[in-house]
Amino acid sequence: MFSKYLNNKHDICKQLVDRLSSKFEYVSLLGKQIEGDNVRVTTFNTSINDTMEAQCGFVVKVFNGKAYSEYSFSDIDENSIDEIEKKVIETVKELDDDSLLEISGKALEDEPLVKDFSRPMLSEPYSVNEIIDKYSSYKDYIHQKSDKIVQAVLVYERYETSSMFISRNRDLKQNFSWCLAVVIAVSKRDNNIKMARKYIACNDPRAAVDGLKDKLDSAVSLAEELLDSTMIEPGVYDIITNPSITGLIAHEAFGHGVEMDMFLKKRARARKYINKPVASSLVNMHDGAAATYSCASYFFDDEGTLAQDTLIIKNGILQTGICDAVSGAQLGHKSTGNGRRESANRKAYTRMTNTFFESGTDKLEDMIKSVKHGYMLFDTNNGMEDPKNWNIQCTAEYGREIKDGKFTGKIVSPVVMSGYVPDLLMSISMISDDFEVLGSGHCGKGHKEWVTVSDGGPCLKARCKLG
Amino acid sequence: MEKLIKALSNSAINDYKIIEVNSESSELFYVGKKLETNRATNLKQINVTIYVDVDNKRGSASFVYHDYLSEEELLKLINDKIFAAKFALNQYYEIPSKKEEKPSKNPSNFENRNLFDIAREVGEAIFKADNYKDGFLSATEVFITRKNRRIINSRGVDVSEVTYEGYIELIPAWEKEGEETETYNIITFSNLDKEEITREVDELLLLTKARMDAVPFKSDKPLTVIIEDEGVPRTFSYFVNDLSYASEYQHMSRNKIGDSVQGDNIQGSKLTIDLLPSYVGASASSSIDSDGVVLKPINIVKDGIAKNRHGSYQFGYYLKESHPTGILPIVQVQTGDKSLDDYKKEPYLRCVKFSAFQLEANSGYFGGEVRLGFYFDGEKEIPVTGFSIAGSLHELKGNIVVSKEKIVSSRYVGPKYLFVKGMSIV
Repeated sequence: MFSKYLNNKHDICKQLVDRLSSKFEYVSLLGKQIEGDNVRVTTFNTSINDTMEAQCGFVVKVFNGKAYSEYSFSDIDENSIDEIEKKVIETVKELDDDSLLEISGKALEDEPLVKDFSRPMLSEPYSVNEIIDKYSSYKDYIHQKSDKIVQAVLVYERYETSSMFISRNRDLKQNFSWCLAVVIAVSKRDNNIKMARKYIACNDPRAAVDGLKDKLDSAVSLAEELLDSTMIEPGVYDIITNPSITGLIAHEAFGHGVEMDMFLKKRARARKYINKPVASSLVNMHDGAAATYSCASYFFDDEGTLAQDTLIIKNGILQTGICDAVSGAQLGHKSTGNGRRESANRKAYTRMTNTFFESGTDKLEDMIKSVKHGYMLFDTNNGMEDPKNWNIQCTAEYGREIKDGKFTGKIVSPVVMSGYVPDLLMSISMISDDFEVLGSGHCGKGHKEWVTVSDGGPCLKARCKLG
Repeated sequence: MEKLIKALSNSAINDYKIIEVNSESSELFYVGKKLETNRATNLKQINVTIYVDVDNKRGSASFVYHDYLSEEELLKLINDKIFAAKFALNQYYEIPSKKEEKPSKNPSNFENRNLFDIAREVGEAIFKADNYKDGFLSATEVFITRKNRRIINSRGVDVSEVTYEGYIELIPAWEKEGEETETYNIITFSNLDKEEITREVDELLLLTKARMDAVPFKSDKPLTVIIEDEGVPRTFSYFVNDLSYASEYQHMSRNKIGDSVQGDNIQGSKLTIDLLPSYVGASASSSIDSDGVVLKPINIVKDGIAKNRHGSYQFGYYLKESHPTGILPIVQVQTGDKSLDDYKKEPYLRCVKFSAFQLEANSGYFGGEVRLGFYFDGEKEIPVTGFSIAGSLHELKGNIVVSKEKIVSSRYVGPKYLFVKGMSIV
């Protein structure tokens, strides 16, 4: 249900926008609230908190004819509206300082639209005590299953986002939710400690909590198996990626490079590759809040642009980037609905949403059979973008060795992939016919500005430097 | 706040904690040399934790408090949290009680200054260095933040502090014969020194030029690897995290007090590591932790030997520490007696810019993709790129030599360089 608090603030926010609209060419206001629960049951501790995504606040954006100004604040009412209006005007006036050289920007598009959007949860959430009961039994099961497990961690995260966007011509409200259930098994032998993580991300909190039960065995067996893992012999190998690593490549290695605020800042090599080949002709890649249904599937972005599905790579050819409204106004490009903020306290940037490769026609077993010596890589550990130089750093949690088309039983962990992004994408020679998008991710821009994202796709066969 | 304290005091809880943060900031966002967006923020957040005791166990639940809640809504919220906390029971622990110690003031010359004036001056200092023909700043963000934090609990703690943070995200770029390159940099500070900012930006522009000139690197022989930048504090976190109360309580710690944290065969420097509340210029400086513990410096490793554990009041209580340290924000590592010049006798590989330095404490893995390094061939340094370094700290922890040269970053004060033998280079 849409936030009662934001609903109560709607009229005063509209009043603020109206007042400022008489002074400035473009004015908008975003109010955003995220509420929910975080429950954590571990071998040693149980905790209950608000969701890690919890936030509540407002931001006003103003265009003064040249550059953009924003003022973020925590609350607004009849007593504070005058002060907030004054603060916004003072912030805009800072731009008059002679030492500042401003851009020559343009007012943002403000097509009329009044609409409410809603996507409710698919089930009534369990109460916190029901979750703790279930998770406590999961924890006990994990320890009964293996004496090598020194810690079990069960996490439940449910959050409900409400936001409203008000400008001279637009008045939008949206409400949607998401849920994450995670199990982590930590194994230990002597001083060797390993961990395995499994999770369910969906919009059905009961299914997530109940479904996690089926992941416990695999988390335990993987955690035990990883105790025998070794470091990989560095080298260039054939690789097969599971959907998590496929998503990591889509998002980290390539996706950041097509964020068009990076084009504006001349930070992205991709801007010179529009309509040029960047990947094998088998490759099609998308991003968009409306491209699939996952944790980044909102109805409108933090600049009031409706969600879209952007085809970024078609048959290996780079078609377009993704774009926020401010960068779009300067580049002469329409926003693709990718203007996102960490919260109303932070600036909006071009950000990815749900980013994935389309599935292909190959069978995974045929892909494995085709590898003479290589690794199948599993599960994202982390990644870092390099949009200008297109260097890759992506780390998989573990890899399984394949020799002569069969798994040898050898497991390596962690596995760092490196190299040049187009070399990796051009080397994609097989794409599986299945498809999975994983909705549990967070993405930063540089080292900050965290937003929820999903990524994934099918399994890919490629060639890459591993270390 | 009065309404909140009254409601908590009248509720069926055993303890409570309130953290109130009022912050303001001035922020400038540049595209090239031109300002695209300026921002100001004025924010308030109140976090509340309630504690409920049942059968010698303690449950807790936390929530964000909003002034807009009516008394009735607040009461319902607290009662919901009490109900939930009764299901989240843990081994009993106390929360800190009122002490006479006063938090020390966090040193900064931001005090009493207009934040926009500081941000503007930082911008001027940055662009003073931006005057190369082929090099330029493609994107720059400046954040100047002042936070006023107050922590109150039901045991009489009522402490507050003001902290200051300057944060610059800086992307210098370099062009040559139609090719371009960039480096990603963060500069943090809590004391404004405009000349130092200009000097640092100039150095980063020249490092970006070096990345432009860098050639792919391959080595088929073992080399001394020199780790710089983010890799240095990240490497020391391996030792710091292992000695936390939580690590010991959760049976994850590899060392007991009195153990040699670097193993039995130390070929490198014997490490001395202190944790500090504050240090001039370190922007994470804080004189109190989130439980309201007034922080004091503590030595955790002396000459390679584990001396003390550290961490939150709760886990300290579990380990029966009489005075839990609280969570200290700054890691200080004692510098050594070797300088970079001392290593210019044989080839080495200096790793200056990583895409993201990784430390996986459980496996001991440390390393990452190096975006800019310098290979010293015995005579001169050559800029290199396109390689990764990797090793296991479980195996190499005794081989690390720390430099004489020192750096200060947001959470770290100590050696600028780590000299490590035995890392793989691919």
